[in-house]
Amino acid sequence: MIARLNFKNVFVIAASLLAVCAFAWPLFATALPQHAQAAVPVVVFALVPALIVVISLLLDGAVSSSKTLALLGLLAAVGAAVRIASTGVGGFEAVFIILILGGRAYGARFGFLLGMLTIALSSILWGGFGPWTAFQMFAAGWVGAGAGLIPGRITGAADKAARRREIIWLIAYGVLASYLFGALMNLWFWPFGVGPETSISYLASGSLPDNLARFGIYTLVTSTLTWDTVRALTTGIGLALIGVPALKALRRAKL
Amino acid sequence: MISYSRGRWAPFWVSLTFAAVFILLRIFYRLVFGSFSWQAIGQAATLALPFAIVIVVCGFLSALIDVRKLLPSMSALRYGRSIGTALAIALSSYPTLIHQVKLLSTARTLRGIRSRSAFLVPLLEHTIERSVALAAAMDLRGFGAGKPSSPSGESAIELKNFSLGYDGKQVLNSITLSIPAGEITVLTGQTGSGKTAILESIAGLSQHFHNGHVDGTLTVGTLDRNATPPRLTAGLIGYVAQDVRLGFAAATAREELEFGMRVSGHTRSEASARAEELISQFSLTGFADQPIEQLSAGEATRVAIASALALRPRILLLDEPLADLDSDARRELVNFLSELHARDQLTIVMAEHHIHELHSLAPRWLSVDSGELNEGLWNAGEVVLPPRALPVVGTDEAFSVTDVSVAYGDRTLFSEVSLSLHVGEVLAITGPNGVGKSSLLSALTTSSDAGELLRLVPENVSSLFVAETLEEELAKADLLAGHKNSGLTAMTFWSILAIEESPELLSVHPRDLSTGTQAALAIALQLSWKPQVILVDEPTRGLDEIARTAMAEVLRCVAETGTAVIFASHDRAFVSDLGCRVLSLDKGELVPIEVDA
Repeated sequence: MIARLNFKNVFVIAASLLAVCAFAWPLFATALPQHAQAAVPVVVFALVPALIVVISLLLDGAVSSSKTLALLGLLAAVGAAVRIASTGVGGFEAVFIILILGGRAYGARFGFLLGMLTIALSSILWGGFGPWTAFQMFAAGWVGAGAGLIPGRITGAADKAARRREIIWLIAYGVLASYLFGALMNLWFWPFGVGPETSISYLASGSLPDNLARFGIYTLVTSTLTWDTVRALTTGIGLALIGVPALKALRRAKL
Repeated sequence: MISYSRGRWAPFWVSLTFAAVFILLRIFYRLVFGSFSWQAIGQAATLALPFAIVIVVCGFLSALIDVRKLLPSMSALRYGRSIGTALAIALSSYPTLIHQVKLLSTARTLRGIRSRSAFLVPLLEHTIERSVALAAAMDLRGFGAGKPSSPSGESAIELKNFSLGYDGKQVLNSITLSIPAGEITVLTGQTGSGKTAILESIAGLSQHFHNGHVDGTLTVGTLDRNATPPRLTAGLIGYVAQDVRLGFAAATAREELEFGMRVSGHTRSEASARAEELISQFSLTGFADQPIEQLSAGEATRVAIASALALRPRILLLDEPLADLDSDARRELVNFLSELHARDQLTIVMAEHHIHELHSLAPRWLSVDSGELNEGLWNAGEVVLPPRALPVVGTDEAFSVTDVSVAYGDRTLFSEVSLSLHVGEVLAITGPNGVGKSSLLSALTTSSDAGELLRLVPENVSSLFVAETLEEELAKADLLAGHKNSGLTAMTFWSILAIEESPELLSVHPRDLSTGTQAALAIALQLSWKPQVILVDEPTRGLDEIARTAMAEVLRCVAETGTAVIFASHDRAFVSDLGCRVLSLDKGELVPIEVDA
């Protein structure tokens, strides 16, 4: 564990934490003096893409072998195909299955890059580039990375029971990640998504508990109960159905 | 389902839609969570405008800047090159991936599987196979070596007591072989005898890519192969893999040639200039810019050879280049290799089953048997049994169809084809590649009113497999066909293969079975539906002589059960040995012909 905490990984974690802060800007901005508040969204919109570039450069060395590269590219293409093909009801949700399996089979760094590239590729192919793209890339990257970090990972040969246990971990993670992804994507967007003068609006002058309560209602009614639940179900059921054989298939490739 | 090219301004239109939805949502929230008034609507819309404009500007910019054109330059960056290359691979392989998705969903329909997620696992399996093939192709072109070193003129190959093993399994046994520069050598032998292993060892893949364990020495020119990874010999050795399509990274032949040059560290302009040169030199002009998955097997092989020769290597290694070609395409390729050899004095080493066409090259013949090497041709004669006669055809009609027509775009493949078949009859449909045999088979499959009567085995048989082991696959087939736990499919499988049930084989992954066994499995899976007619597309694809004889036996066994067989094949020798009724698809019509080998 200590050996893996080299300076690059420390930087990657630091950049990720900085990005989390950027996602949560509506909760911090209220603490700033009034004249500085207007600048916060601008800083955030510049910071997140910059952090994407920084993390990409830091992780570049982790995928330098031809096998990892080819796998990363082709799996991102699979992810993008799934995302584009399943637009509509359940939408973008099936992509999580690919991200979680990829991150699980090949590790957190691979998972992060897979999430990022899948979003980038589908945006290039389908259109839909917007202010949200960089945020989506980060959030999808975390989903993939997280799957590589949670416990119970099988490294060598394993019996059926162990494989089942691993999938149960992944399903739990997939459900949790589905809701967290929705909440995070709502958090940064909240002040833009809802205009002023409603009971769920962001209050630039409000206190943190007040804003948290308002955000809670916003995210609950606009996505937690609807899209996020669809996503959690799609991901959970998908992993339950194909998790074991899919992971076995991915692990057939020896990196 | 999914379109690849959606027109330049598509992102802009998408962003307009998003902006409109965004404004409507703001108004909606204002009305639901705030107070209702007409003023509020106007105010909410006005306040939403700035962000909506940001959305539209983003859409406009992404329509204006074509990222696809920018990407190739990313692989020239000092930093971020790997991720740039991965994204470039993702983009360029997307169309062929979509093609594969379509193939797999067709196969899912053919097997009668309803669940949509069932084909995600085969898709991932295919993706892994492609990744490995693509990565090998990249290493062979010098990926990560910077500029390829200019090769030495030395192109002799020398193996001394060379042995190779994977995970403790011995593949090559103390081989000693000396191939002088400029000579053509053909390795013959049964599938799995070690022909590919010899080629991969010369290319350095066995030692450095597949992490095989080696013993003895292998020298290429003046280089110690066991100490020199493939990326350092990209300028010396060109390699054409067995399934060339698997290693393609790009969407067109031109992009594939350019990709190969870029991977070896050439600039964009050098790459496109060399690609242009290769296109004219190898007569690829007619299809250089067509989608690569639409090329015929012969065309795809030519592209792979052109790409392997892009860096002007002195040694060319080919793994069964004739396997998927019809007889015209084979002759053409052999002539082409002969010209190439005469002009450049290349050292050529190839593995091949189809020796008949190769005699004109006057090569040195070697035979490989269970990892051992001998001079001379491999003789299958002792192991190949003479074909048995087909069963007597029944008098009842199993199937008849009239006036089937298929058009492909504006081109009519065939019109008003009529055909009838008796119980237990075997019918061959021949004709060169690309004439429409496969389309005819799928048209016949769907032409019958009672859909359960006919079952199709597609050309890429592995697309039918959905399970992790042979045993599960057979059980799954029983389940799908509605006779769960009957063991019928397993019985069919062992009896058409004419071997004893083997527990060892039952635990093997279907994709790891030999090509011939895979074909027999696919046929057994489709027979589980008890169809009146089974249609098989190219049953001898990729089979060696022994496996071909076994396939003739499989078809005979199927006919013996009373199921009529229609198969499409360009393998004239196979058709003539089988001695069945033959129709030739010619200029859109089916005509009866006699076939001599």
